[in-house]
Amino acid sequence: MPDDLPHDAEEDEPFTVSRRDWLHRMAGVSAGIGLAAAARHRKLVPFLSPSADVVPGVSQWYATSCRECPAGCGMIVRNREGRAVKCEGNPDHPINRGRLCARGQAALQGLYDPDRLRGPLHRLERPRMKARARRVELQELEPATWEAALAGLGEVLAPLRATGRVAVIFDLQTGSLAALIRRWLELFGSDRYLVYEPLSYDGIREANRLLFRQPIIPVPSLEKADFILSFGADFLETWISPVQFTRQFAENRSARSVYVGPRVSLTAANAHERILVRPGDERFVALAMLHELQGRARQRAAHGAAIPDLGDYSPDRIGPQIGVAAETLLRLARAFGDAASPVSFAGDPFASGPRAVEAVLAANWLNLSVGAPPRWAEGLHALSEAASQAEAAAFTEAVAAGGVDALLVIGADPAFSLPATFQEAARAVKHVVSLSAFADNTSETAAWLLPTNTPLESWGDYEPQAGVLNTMQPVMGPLYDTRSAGDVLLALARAAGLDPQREFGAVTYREYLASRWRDGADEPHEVALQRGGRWATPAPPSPPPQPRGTRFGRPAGDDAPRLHVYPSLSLFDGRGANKRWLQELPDPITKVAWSSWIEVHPHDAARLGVGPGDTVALDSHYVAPVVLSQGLAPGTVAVPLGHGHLRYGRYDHGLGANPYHLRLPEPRDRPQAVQVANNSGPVALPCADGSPYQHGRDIARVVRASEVAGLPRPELRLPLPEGYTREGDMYPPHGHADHRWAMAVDLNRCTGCGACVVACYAENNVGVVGPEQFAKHRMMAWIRIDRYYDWSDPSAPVLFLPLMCQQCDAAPCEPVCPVFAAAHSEEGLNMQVYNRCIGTRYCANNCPYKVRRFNWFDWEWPEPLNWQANPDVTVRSRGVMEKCTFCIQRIREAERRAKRENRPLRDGEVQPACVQTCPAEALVFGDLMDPTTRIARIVAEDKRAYQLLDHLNTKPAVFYLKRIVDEGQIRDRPQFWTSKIGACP
Amino acid sequence: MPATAYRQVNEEILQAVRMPSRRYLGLLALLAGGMGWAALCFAYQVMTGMGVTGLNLPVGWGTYITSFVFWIGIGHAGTLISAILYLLRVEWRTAVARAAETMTVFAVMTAGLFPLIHLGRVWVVYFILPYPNTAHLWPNFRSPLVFDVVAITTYLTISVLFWYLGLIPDLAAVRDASTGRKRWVYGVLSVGWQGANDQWRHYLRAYACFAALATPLVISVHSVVSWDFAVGIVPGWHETIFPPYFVAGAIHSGLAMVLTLLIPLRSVLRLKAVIQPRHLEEVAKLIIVTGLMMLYAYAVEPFMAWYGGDLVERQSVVLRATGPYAPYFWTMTALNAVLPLALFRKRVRTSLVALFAIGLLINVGMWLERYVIIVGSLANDFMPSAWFTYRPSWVELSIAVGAGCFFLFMLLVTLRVIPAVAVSESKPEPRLAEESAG
Repeated sequence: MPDDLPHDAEEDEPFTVSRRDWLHRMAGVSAGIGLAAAARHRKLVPFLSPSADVVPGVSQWYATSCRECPAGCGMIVRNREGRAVKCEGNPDHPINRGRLCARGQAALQGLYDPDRLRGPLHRLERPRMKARARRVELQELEPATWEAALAGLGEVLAPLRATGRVAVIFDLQTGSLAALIRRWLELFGSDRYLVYEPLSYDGIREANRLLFRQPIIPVPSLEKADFILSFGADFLETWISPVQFTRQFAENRSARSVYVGPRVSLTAANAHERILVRPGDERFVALAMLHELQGRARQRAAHGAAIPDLGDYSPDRIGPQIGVAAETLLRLARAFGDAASPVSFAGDPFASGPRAVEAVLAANWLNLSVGAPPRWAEGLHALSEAASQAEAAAFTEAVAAGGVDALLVIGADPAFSLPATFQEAARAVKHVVSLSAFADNTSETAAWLLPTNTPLESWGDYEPQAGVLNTMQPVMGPLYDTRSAGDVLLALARAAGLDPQREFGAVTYREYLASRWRDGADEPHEVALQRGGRWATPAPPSPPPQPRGTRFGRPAGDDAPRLHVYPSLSLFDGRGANKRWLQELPDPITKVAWSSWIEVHPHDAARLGVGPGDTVALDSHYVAPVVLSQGLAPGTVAVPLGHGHLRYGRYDHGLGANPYHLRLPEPRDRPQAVQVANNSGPVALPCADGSPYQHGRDIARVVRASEVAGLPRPELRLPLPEGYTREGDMYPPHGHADHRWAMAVDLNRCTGCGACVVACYAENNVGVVGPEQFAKHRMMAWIRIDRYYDWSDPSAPVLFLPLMCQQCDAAPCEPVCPVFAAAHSEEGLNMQVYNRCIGTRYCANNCPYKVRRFNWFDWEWPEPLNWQANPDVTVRSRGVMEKCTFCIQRIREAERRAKRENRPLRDGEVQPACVQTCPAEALVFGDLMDPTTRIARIVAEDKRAYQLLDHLNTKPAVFYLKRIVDEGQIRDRPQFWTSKIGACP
Repeated sequence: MPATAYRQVNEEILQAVRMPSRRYLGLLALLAGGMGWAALCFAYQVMTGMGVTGLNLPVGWGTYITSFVFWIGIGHAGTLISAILYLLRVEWRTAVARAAETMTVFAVMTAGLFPLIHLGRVWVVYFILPYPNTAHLWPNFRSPLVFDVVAITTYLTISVLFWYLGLIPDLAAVRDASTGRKRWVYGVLSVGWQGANDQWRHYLRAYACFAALATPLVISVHSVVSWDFAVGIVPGWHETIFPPYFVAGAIHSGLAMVLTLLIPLRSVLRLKAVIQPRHLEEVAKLIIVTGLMMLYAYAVEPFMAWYGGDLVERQSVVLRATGPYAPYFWTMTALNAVLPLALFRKRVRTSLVALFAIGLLINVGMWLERYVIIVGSLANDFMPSAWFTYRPSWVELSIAVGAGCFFLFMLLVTLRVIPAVAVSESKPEPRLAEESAG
């Protein structure tokens, strides 16, 4: 017994150890050795006293609002053991009805961004204009405490009370935060604020001001339209409210859709017909149509009083000037005029000036001319409140003029997207305070960087469309020493010597919100919070006021390449750039990821002497590699937004170029032309494309609209015992225990948006490989979207084919695996047993669909991105094969739930992540053995059904439904023998 | 043959089994360096992941599997020469049989390295063996990779035994010619061989038995290896001609390797009198035969693709000839099928320089053939959207070259410690003994 030992004896003999101590220590040492051996595995620490709503192994779902773009979809976030692990759409939400786009799915990567600020920072020496020394000074950011920050800023702000020398820039906020900011500014005697959205849709706002005296951005509805005409509005990927439009578009696929614009965007790819014109020429297509329809328009006296004089815009005259056949314009005009309920809309989110305004005006006139009930203002969008580029420029000038001593930038990053004059102006301000989760471009001039919560950690509200109020609540506790912007403002007010309780009626932002939510509500606000918001049925749209006469420009006769800048499907206006799931999602058309690029038409490329992959400069600002694309109007160069952040985070650092610098400071009538200078030789772009052609293999199948009804019953080889034939099969049929899981993919609904891809990354802990490995074709996506497009034929349909493991019944992967790592489950799934896999890669070679993914390395999971990992799914290590499992963890969860409740599984109860999020509802999942399920009925009844590579007799459990195309869109000259590999350089 | 001639044969052959020259040792050191570097590269690959190779998503097999098939092919000539030609009583085989058998043993060993090297998780490779375990998990006997394990271990076992059996009288001859510890070592290795008549009788029976056992293996091993591809459904792999095509190719490359190795070795080991140009000419005649078989196989592939009518198959043939691997395809066609036709001319056949060059070029061509079949087919298979090309990385090239170093190292060391030509068979007597025994 150690206590019995005399102390002096221990001192005399250093090695005196009792038997019990010895055993204790040895136990400790062996445990230590064991732990050291397991050092790669992280410790699991159980809750000592668990919170009441955290049950290990049980998910909690919290409703909030997606703030990844202004659309404001409803979102629910799954929380497991205190960590948010998955975003899904709120099924009750009127805008997105349970669906999310790729950006919404990636919202968690903003929360867990490894480059977030973790506490306040203070810049000791303000950067001066000494150009050379600046870089050094920028490093002098010192960690600070909130107390110090508030005290320091209190000293700055206290003397500025009621002086009007304080200004605020914030990203698009409606409701409480906007009200709080305005009230806060009032206390400083200021009304200078800028609601800054980089994509400001100036054209729409200005056109509606000119036409109806209302500078608003309406939300058109595609729901009941039978002719959808878009002038450059990419409503399926980024435009205003894409998830909403995608659903409406997919549900209304029989409506004829026509896209007029400079580039084959995702929206153009899904339209029945696309008319490619150079940027700025869309309006002339509309005007030529209007010219044809003006007779009818005049008859609609209710609206048509001020119809502009269109004498110069006859199709015959305009057609040749913009490179569109006059017959096409006439045909389009008549089809539009004859449609029962046509809708046309326009509105370049990026461009401003007459070109953008006139396109919207012309589109609105088209709507008015057919006298259809005015569909232009079905709902008022929050974007109406964002400042235009002109307002932003005016604000910049005012700041530069020196009237501002303190500038708060909340959530927005104007320095990334505004011209360099903004940064100059900000430097002239004595005290710039950045309230952002990131050390972004704007924070470069800030003396104080006050880290805010990301939207997923915040209380708040957002009203994306009139009548749709989203409430926001934290989906998990804050990760770092950050606060919500509202709380910071309240604390700053107090630090400046004001009493928040008196001025705002609340001490914390949460109280402030609660008091606002209580006002005029007939239910406790907790109910709304739980639901995700308050969604009134929108009031019927008021009839538009009398339109005023408008004037239009003329086609410009220049032939310099015109610039088309469009928001990226994944990175949007740039805010997605540090989310690696989004960086890894290839652009749906070019298939390029992790890089910016310049799309050039082959004719122009030949003229300019540039080839694919050549690094080229536009106006000496924007340097990026060339991608040759025939999906572009000749005489156009197109670049995506999103890349080129100087500071934001590691995943965009040093990648790509920033096209905002190409935006002209002032609107000009002429569409912007660019100088193209060949800079240096070709580089290899990270590109997922193999061959863009189907090579006559009939992989993504189409059927003419007129032939759908007459299709014969398809000969399907069912992945069930009845699909077995003696002559066709080598191995005996598989029996199935209770279920045979299967999926249907409706190619006529799928728009190729990629939401499923990102949802799968989030659900299944799919590794992110980064640009170098992506360029080597080692991407890990379990579901990918193949794009087949015969570039040589301008009117050929662009076909998207979501491809996940086909869960074949006679799977080629299974017999070749030497160790049974690829094995068939009782429910028909092709399982991959990770800890049995020895990594021969034979299964991947033998998979005709190429859906198996090999772990070439141990993929990086930088802290805290690993917090997002789904605890129900393994993180695979290097050397093993993996692939789509049909989200087997969700199947098991549902099966266990059903068993616990002593009932059979319901159809639709199991939804794999891709199916759950698909905004177009193109995917259907279910049990093929039960003839009453949706999937079984589709397989039994839908004549468009087919199986991929069915001649191989793999009997896939994924059934594709053929895309329905226009009469003229099927060409009978497939690229049989071309050996071209890839459209990418 | 008079007694002096016997001694001459003995001395001629056994003089090679002596302390090697400094240049020879230098060469061995160089080869050991190559092996060491490759071992380091392999360690790097195991620690980092298969991403250090050039492999990618459609192309899951590349240089490693190419080299595997190549070395297995090399390992075919030895057995062909020692077993089949023995059974056919071809007189000239004696001069080249020992070297060819030794080559076979080490080529199969070299080949056996690659399936290990190419695994994503080599540390659990034993999963592929049918050993009893608590989980009752067996390997999947439907998988050609399991066939491979069986075929190759069988072939290696038989080759080694056959080779060792043939060596016993010669080891005894070395034993008799040496003293001290060396004598003891060779004494153990020669398992008490005295050259007694009944020993010879048993020996020759056993030898004939092994020859008969090994003969079907020449056909079966490469047939099984070809199933790795033919059982797969990849267009360009899934072809019924593959087993005979691969066997012919294997023998083709093996014979070419015999030429490539023996022509320099007969000078290095001073065996010019034993291994004579006429022996090499006989090998060259065999190469004409296998070369014509290759030409036939190359012609049948596009014919079957056309005749079969499958679009993907046809396109894969066209892509092979015009796609990203077209240069390799045309090179291999020229080297494997066209170049051997030059051997129809006696002048070419008897020129050692020409034979050496042709042997070397056929080996290059045969390596490229496997590369084109494996990589070219995977790079352009069913899904055009997934097409991509592969290029070996420095790690793969290092390991491929290092494996060649291993092969040469083992060969050079071994041919210094065993007689490179069968001493006993170079003397006519055993035949008489055999005839009397039979």
